[in-house]
Amino acid sequence: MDAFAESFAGTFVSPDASLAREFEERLADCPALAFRVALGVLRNRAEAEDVAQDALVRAYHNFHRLRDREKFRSWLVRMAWRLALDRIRARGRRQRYEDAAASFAVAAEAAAANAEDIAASREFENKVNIALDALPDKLRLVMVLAAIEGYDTREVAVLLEIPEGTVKSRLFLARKQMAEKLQWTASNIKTR
Amino acid sequence: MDCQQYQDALNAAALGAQSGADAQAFRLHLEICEGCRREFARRREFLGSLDRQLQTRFEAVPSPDFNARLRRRIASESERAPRPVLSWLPLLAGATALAALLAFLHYRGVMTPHQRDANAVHIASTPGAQPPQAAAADHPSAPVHANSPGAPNVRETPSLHPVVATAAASTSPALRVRIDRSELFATVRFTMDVAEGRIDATPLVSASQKSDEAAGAKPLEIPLLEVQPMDKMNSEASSSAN
Repeated sequence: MDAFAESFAGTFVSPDASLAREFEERLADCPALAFRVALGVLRNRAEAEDVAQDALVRAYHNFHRLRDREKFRSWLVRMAWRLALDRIRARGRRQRYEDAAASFAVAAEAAAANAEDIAASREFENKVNIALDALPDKLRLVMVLAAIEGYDTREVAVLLEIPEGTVKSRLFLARKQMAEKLQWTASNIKTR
Repeated sequence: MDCQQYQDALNAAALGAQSGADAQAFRLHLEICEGCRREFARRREFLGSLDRQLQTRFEAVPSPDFNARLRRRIASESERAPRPVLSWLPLLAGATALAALLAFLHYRGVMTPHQRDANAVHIASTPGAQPPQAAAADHPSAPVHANSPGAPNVRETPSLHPVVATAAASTSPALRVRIDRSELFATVRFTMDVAEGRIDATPLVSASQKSDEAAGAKPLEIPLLEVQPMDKMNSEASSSAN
């Protein structure tokens, strides 16, 4: 059990002690995973943390219903993803895209005015955000999970419970669509 | 040389999704085409930057107090966490028995237009009480419930079809029991109070009568189901007949 799980020792009140202990053990790296998945949709840290917390609390309450405990991470990923999408929908898609378009315009202007590296970096980040948002949900989830898992397609396949070949083809399509959206332009890319 | 024909191959190769004869043909082309070689390298660099950008973003970690907040929230919600399924079993058994009893009583029930008008259904509930026809046949002088010239405003439920009662077990605090029959559809809601260890067999939520619908009448909404002893029912029917 890692330090995080240890910090929860005894927190979980369950009539079944072994169930509570198993939940604690399963938590290990899960808060960060849930947070990152939510961040892939929301991009707002505070909101992503809220959603991650909601997903983990739900996981806690429904853990006894999960038959195959080995699927805890994929179960949590799906929960966090759905909750994040729900939050986006509640917030209003329109506002979201307007915000994204506005930030894109600002960044583009900054770039046109011979912006410095940091501005170029922000511009690229905004462009990437827009391109990522434009992906269909299935492709976007694969792209986000691939980035989280260091582009390990096997691990993504496990998380999504789909064949690795499907992950590869979705990842190919996602990267292709993003690249085309970004016009294969890397001239002002600066990664932080 | 027309490099346009290699555009798709260029993308596929940059994305690492090319194999077989296409890959070989493209490699041969790259060897002789400086422009495509540069473009291929540029696209590879772009994709690498894109991947790194996303990867860097998703290395983010929750704020330091995330775990503490989660711990507090779970601890506070645990105080009102539901009891384990096993502790529900006695209550569940009781509720199922109650459902069966209600179904049985319902099976023997009668309904009067007067009662329907009052938005209430009265069901005979005396254990061992005979169905109205049987009671009338055995005791001609006894109060008559159904289709009797002496009791024109009292109508027996048309026929006694089998009653299907199902109880859906759930860990949620409400157990819904649906009782279906051809004439009457009823939904009974049971509330299990775990803290008090009791079951409240509160009441029918709604009901409608098919015979009324068939006659073109507006479906009857009956918000309340009352269960009465048969003798009280009998006395009501007698007074109504008189």
